[in-house]
Amino acid sequence: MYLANIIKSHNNMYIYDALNNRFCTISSKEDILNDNKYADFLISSNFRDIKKPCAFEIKYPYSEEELNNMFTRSIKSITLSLTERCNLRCEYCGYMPKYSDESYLLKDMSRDVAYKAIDLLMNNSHESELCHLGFYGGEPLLRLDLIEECINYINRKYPFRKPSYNIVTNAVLLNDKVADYFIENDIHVIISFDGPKQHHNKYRVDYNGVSSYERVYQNIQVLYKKDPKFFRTHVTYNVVLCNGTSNELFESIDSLWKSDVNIIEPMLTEHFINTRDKNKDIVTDEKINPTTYDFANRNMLKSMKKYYNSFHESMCGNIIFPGGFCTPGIRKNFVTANGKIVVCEKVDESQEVFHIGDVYRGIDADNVKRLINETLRRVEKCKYCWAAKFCKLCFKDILNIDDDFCKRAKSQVESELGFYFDNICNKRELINYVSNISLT
Amino acid sequence: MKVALIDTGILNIELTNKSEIRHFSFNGKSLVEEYKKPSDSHGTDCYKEILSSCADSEIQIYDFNVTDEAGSLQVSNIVKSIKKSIEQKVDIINISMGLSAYSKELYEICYEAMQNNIVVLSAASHNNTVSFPADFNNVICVKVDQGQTEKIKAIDNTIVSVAMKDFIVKENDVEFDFSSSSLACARLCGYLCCDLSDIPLNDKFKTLSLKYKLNFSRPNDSSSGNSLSESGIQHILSNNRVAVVLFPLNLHETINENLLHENIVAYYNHENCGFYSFKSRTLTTEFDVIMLLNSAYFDLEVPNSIEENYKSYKVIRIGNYLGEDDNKYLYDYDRHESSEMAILEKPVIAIASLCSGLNKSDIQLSLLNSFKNDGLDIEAVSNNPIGVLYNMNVFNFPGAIKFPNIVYNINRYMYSSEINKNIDAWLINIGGAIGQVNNMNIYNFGKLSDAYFLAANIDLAIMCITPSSDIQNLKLQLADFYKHGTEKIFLVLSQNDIDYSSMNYRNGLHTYCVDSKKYSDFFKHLRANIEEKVFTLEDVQNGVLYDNVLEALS
Repeated sequence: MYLANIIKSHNNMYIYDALNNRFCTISSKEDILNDNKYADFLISSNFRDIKKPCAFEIKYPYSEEELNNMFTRSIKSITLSLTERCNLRCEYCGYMPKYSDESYLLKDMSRDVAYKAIDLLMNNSHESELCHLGFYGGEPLLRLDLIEECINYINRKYPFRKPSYNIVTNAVLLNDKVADYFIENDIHVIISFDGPKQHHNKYRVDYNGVSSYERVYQNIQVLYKKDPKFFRTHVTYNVVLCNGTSNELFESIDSLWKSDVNIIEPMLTEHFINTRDKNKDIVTDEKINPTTYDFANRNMLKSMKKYYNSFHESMCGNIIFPGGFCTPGIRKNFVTANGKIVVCEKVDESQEVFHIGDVYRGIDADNVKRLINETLRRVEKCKYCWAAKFCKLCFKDILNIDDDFCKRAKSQVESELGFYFDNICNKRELINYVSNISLT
Repeated sequence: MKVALIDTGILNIELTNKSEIRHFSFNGKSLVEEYKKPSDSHGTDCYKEILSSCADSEIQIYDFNVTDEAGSLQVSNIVKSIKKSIEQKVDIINISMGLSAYSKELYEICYEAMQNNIVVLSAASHNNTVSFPADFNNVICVKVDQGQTEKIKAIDNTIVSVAMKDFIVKENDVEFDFSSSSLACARLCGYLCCDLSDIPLNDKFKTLSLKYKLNFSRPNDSSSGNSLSESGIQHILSNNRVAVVLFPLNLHETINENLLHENIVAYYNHENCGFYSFKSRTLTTEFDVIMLLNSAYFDLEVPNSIEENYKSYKVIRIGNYLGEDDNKYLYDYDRHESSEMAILEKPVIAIASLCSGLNKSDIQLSLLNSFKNDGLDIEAVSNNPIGVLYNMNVFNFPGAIKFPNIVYNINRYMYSSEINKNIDAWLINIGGAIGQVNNMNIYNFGKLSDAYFLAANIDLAIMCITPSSDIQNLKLQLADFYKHGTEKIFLVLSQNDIDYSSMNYRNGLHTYCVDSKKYSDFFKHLRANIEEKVFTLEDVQNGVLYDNVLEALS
C-alpha cells in the first residue's frame, strides 16, 4: 500500500488514504489484501487505488523572506533559563548528567543577557497577539532577584505593553513572599507535581535523597490560600508520568483545584535509564477510561483536533510538511544561561543545529535555514509514510528519527485515528467541541 | 474548615469550645467586626446544628448577623457578608435563609464565591416558591425529605435533600420531628465540613460532583457583551489635547498628518520612550489625555500601572485589551434601534476583507485622502480604532452580531446621518472576518459584512483578499454579494496571507507577509481567472484604485 494503512480500532476496521485524506470502513483486511475483493472494493467505494505507487512532496511552508519578516514583527515567546542550578535532584531530569558531573560549573544568567532577551522580545513582537516571557531553570526561584529585575525592567522600559509571564517551578521555595509576588504580577505558575505522595516522592528528591512532597504540598497551599481564584486561573500542574497510568493517580490529579494539568512522558535520558531503580516503580496495568476524568478527557479531545482539521480542510494535495513543527524563532525561543537562543526548551541545547541565534544579534536567519535544511534532510523519508501528516515529530526529535521512533509514532497515529473514526467524527456534539478547541 | 454563617447571629452564651468564632454585624450600612445580640434564636440553632453534624472537623465560624436595626433582612447585607467571607477565604458559606426577589448582585457574588472554591449552601423555600440564593444554579439548595433513608440525596444538579427525622422538637411536652430546611441546610453544612476538610488543595465542586453528583453552572468569565452608553470619543477629542500611543508599534510611521484630527497633538515613540509633538517632533508634555489605540485584532495586555505612571493625564484605552477598555466611548450599533428599513440615497463604498491584517485601513485612508483633496464630504466609518486619528465614526465591534437587529441598526444609523449631515458618499471599512478556514464557513467576509450589505445598497465593494484565496470559493462569495444588490466589486490583493498553522490558536487566525514572488505569481493568476478588476497595494498608493473608484461611481 502506498500512503495508506489499515486502521484497526476497538470497534471497526478502516482503510485510510493519506494522500486524499479519505477513510472507509472495511469488514476485514482481506478486503484490501485479496486482489478480487480489492477490485470490488475500489468499484464500490470510489477509493484511490492505494496499490499504485505515490509519495508526498515534502516542502517547508515559509520562504526565507517570509521568515525574516516574522523575526522582526511576530516573535511570540521567549523563555529564560535563569540558572542551571536546582534545589532538587529529580532522577529523570535532563540536567542530571550536569548535576552529577562535579567538574561542570553550573551557570547563572546575567542581568545583561536577560535584559537583551527581553528587548528582543518586546521590540519584535508588535504584530503578535502573544507576547510571552517565561522563567525557567534549573529552578528559577533560586533567581527570584533576577525575575524581579526583569519585571521591573519591563515595567520601566515598556510602560504600554505587558507581556504574559509564566514560571515553571518545583515549588520548594514558593513561600509567602513569592506567592504574593506571583499574584501581584499576574504570573502563571506551572508546578512540577507528580501526584499523590508515593508517586511524587519516588523521583522528586533533593541532593540528599530527601523527598520533597511535604514541603511542596505545604507551599502550594500557601499560594492557594492567598487567592483561590487566582490559583484556579493561573496554576497548572506538570505531572511526569513515570509509573504509567492508574486510576488512583488520575483521580487525585483530576480532583485538584487548578487551571490545567499537563501530563508529561518522562525523558528517558541515558542517565535515567542507567540509574533508574526499577524496584521503586509502582507497576500498574490498570486500563484508564479517559472520559472518566475531566483533564484526561480534555487532553484526549485536544489530541483529536489535528484529525478534525485534516478531514475538514478544503484543500488537500500531495505537498506536506510532516509532523507538528513550530516556526523556529517565533513561537518558542529558549535562552540559555549564557545567552544562546535555542529553538525550544525541549531540545538538546548542546547540539549546534538547534542554536538559532543569541540575545545580542537576535534570531540568526542562517542558523534557522540550517535547522530547516537539516530537518528537511531528516524527514525526507517521511514522504512515503502514511502517518506523516499526523506524526508527533518536531524539532526535538529530528536527531533521533530511527525505526523505533517511527514505529511508536505510527502506532500512536493509528490508535488516535481509530479513536477519531469510532468516537468523534460521527458525533455532532463532539465534533462541535473539537472544532472549537483552541491550541496555544 | 472555615464556615461563614450568614444568619440572624449567634448568641454568645451558647458558644461551645469546639469552634473558634468571629462575630460580624451591621452598623447602619457598614459591616463591622462586632458582636450584636441576636433578636431570635435562628442563627444560634443553625450554629449548633453545624457543630453537631460534624463530629471531627475543627471548625472556625464567621458569624454574620445580617439583620438591620428593624430586625429585617436586606439583600445588600447578605452580599456584603458573602464578599467579606470571600476575603476571609472561608470554605463554606451557610445561608439558612432566603429572599423571594431576584438580585443580580447576589447572583454575582455567589458566582464570585464559587470562583474562589467556596461552596455556598442555602435553604429552600418552605412553601415551594422561589428563594434566593437557594435557587441560583451556583448554590446548593437544601430541602428536607423526611421519607428518605439516605443522609443526603441529590435531587437535581444543585438541589439536595436531607433527612431530618431525628431532629426532635419538644413543644408543650409534645415531641415532633421538625422539617426545617434552615436546619437541614446547617446540617448539610456540618456534613460537608467533614467531607471537605482533608483535602485543602482540591476542587470542592469536583468532590461534590463525585460524591453527590452535584453539578454547578460555571458560566464563562467573559463579560456579558457591550454595555455602551453615548459616544464620547469625539467629545473628548473636541475638548482636550490628546497624545496617542499606537499599536502595532510601527503604526506612527504611516500616519497621514494631513488628515489627522487637529487636537491630536503628540504620539508616543516606543523606541525613544517619550511623547513627541507632531508639529515640532520634539519631546512634549503639552497634552491632557493619553489615548491608547490598538488597531490589532488581538487583545493587548497593558500594565495596570499606566494610570499611576501618568497620574496627571486621563488615560483612555481604545481597541482590544485584556482587562478593561474604554470602548464605551466609541459609537455603538445598538444605539440606533429601529424596526423599519429606510432608503439610503448616498453612494456607498464598502471595504471588507477575508481576515484581519489585509490593509483595509490603508485603502480607506488612501481613498479618503484623495476624496478630501477633491473637495468631497465623505462620511468615513470604521471598526478600527485607528480611525479615531482621522475623525472617522469608529464603531465598537459588537460582541455579538444579532440578525436581523444589526441590519436595522446600521440602516437607521446611516439614514440618520444622511438627513442630518452633508454627505457626498460613504466610505465604510467593515471590521471582522474569518477567512476560509474550512468548508463549514459561511461568512467568509464576516457577519458584519453581511449585515452592512443587507443594510445598504453597496455601490462599490472593495474586497481585500489573501494570496492563498481559493478562486472557486471566492467566485461563490462574490456571486452572493451581487445577489444581494452590490453593484460592482473590486479586489485588492494584500501581501499578508493567512497562516494556516495558526488555525487553532486561541486568538484567531494570524497572518504573515508573503514574499514578493508568491505575491506577483498569485496576482497574475487572479487576473487571469477572475472577471473583477484586481489591484495591488501599489495601485492603492499611487491612485490607480481611486481613479477606478471614481469611474465606477460616475
